[in-house]
Amino acid sequence: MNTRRLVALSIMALAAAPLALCGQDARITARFTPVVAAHLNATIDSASSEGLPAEPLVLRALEGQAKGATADQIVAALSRLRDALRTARVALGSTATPTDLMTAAAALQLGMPPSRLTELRQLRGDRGIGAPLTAYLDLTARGVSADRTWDRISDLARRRASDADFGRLTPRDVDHQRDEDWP
Amino acid sequence: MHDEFVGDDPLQSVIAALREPVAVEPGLRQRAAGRATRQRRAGVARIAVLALLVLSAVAIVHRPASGTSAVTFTLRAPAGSTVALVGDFTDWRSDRLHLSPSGSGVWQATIRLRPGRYRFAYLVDHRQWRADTVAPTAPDDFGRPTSLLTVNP
Amino acid sequence: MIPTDDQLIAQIAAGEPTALDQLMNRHGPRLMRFATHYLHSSSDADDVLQEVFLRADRAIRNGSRPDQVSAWLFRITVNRCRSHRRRWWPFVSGAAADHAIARAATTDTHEQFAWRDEIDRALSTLSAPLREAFLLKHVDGMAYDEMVAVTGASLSALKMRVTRACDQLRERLQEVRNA
Repeated sequence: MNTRRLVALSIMALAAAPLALCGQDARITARFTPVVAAHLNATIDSASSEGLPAEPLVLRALEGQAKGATADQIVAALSRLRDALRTARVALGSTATPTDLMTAAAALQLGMPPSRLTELRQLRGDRGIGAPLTAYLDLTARGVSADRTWDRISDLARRRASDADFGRLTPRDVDHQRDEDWP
Repeated sequence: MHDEFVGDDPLQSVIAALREPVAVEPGLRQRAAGRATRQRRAGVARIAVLALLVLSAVAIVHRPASGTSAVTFTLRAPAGSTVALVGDFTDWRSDRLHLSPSGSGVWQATIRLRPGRYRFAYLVDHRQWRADTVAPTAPDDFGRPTSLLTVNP
Repeated sequence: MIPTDDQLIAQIAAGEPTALDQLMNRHGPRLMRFATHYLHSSSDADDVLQEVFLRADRAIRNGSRPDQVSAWLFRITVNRCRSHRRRWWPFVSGAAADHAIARAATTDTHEQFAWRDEIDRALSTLSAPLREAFLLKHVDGMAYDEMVAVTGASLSALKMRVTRACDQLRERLQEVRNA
């Protein structure tokens, strides 16, 4: 981290000290220098004060540290994740559970438009978005096209599929049309 | 064609090596024909055997009533001397969980996890990060391979 | 006179027994190279190629007339490789693992094999989507629009995968050399 950045972080950390002291995470404090830890804790604490879940932010910071990322990279990653959590809450509404927000933030970070989150919430109603979003994340992470996966997931949601139906989805189910076209 | 590679980029020699021809074993047509015959004969029995073998490198092997699931992690790392399992469930510490060698370069560990969605990776010999070969790949902020595991309730 | 791909397809459809051999001889080596590097095993790749030509043969006899035979065969190969990996990879401690171990065992005495083993190991650390995109782009030399047709992935996703694959491979090779 360069000196200018360090000074800037120190100032921000001092400004945020009262907040950070309220919400310090021991894991962050133990794994980072005091200046970086104060800054990260401030970011995490401010997210908490907005009603966003803190745990995914803490874990992302610890992941960055384990992987040898620079403080700048970790700070930037936390900001992106916090922004995704905020967007998820706007898309899903204030009643969204922390687990839903975490899953939705992961989908947003993979490029899912927020409007699809809102649509999914409306389609699913009381049945929750956890199962369809988890299926979406798993399938796209396996290399299945995001649009094709969304078509399948939203179609199932429209047909009031159960959580188990989403859990059973495989890349082959989504690629069914392709397999017909290509032997 | 590799305009994007400059100077002595090691990838140029990697690509050159990978572009070397790979021979097709003689008799492919006959083997394919024999395979077609076997497929017709084996029918349902073959499907049943395959179903038994469809498992992933991250396999949920037991789900007791306690709410946690036993999950087995498997990695092939023939050249490794240690393999750590690092992830959300270890607070990304590499000194908490290690895979044990189970022969032929295969390493394994079984741990209990609560339902949830976890990011994880393997750390071979304290320096080489590896993703799981079967689990979905996670988007990564730090330029290292990361995998995803979902343990359903 | 050497028949075109389209003529071979027509001959296969008409039941000409040598036409499939000619199609295999023409396209097999490229497909074999992709499958071998994707699956890290020539025996698995051979298995996949048998399946590819079986399926192609059946499809042609059932009336398929692909516009681009090479891309069509490649797409079948990519799909078969993906299925093969999902089905068998966790259990490669048999033939494929022995193959890899035998290859690694030669590294002490043959520098060339050591280099190939380094490449193989680096390639195996890539996730399947990244490995697939890298092989199609840089080893097979496909244009991105061909890759879109072969993989079903979007152009932007493929570009991102190729870039990330290159970055990760460079990093792995550097790690190995520094070790």
